[in-house]
Amino acid sequence: MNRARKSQDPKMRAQEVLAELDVMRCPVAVDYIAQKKGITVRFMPLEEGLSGMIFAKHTAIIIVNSLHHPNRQRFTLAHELGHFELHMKEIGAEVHVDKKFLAFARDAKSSLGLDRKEVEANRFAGELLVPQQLLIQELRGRVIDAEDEALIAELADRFEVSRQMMTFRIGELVEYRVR
Amino acid sequence: MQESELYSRFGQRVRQHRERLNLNQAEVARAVGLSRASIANIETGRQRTPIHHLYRLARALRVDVHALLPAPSEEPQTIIDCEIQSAVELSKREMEEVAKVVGVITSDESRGV
Repeated sequence: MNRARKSQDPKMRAQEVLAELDVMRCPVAVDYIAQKKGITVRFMPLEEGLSGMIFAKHTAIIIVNSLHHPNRQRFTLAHELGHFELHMKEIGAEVHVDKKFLAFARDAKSSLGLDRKEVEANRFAGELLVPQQLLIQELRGRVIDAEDEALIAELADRFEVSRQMMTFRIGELVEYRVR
Repeated sequence: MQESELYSRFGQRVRQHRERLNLNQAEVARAVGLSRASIANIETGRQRTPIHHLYRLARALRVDVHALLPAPSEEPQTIIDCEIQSAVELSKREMEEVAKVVGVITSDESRGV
């Protein structure tokens, strides 16, 4: 694969990964993606406040807190995959640890660059778990309302993500279409 | 608490019991079969005591071995020997857990598990 063609934009990078591994089906097989990328993934019980971590040894190693809800574990893995795709050079020999991801916000500010990494990893994870293209297909012919709780719940279950994430993704899509 | 701290606490206990019995370091050394310098070093935590010496020390000081050992709450904590980065600050407990997990996985990897 041509490295120069890899996008540094989190959403585009997620789309590239989905296309490259031909996994554009819901629910998106995040563990398969990690496996195909040669990443060692371990699900282990961790302190409640810790979601996951990533560090490099001979391979990249991702650890996911197995005590969290399965959908949250999928999100943690997708978020760490975002770090893998976008930030391994910056992480270097350190262990990058992720606590609870409170916001999917796209414009958090930071001088350290750590928050920027988190925002990017969240955007990557959002697109990976709920690809825009699949979401548009799912919503075709329906009335889109980001406050329709039954719709949110149904789609969250289909994509195996939290309702919070689905609400955010639908909101983002509406915004995108208005533009 | 670091490992060295554990040995200095052990040494403090040895000294307390020796003084309680009004013994000097040379007397304890003779009873245990060590040099006076060794006893002095044990008391300051500079020398690490093997288990068979622990039993001899306890006998010489007329106490149970447990009386010389620091309490479990005083045991050394995990040494954090990896560089950790996080957007949100980690508690000490969390940092220790990260270090532990990384240590376990790294040693698994080097054994080819």
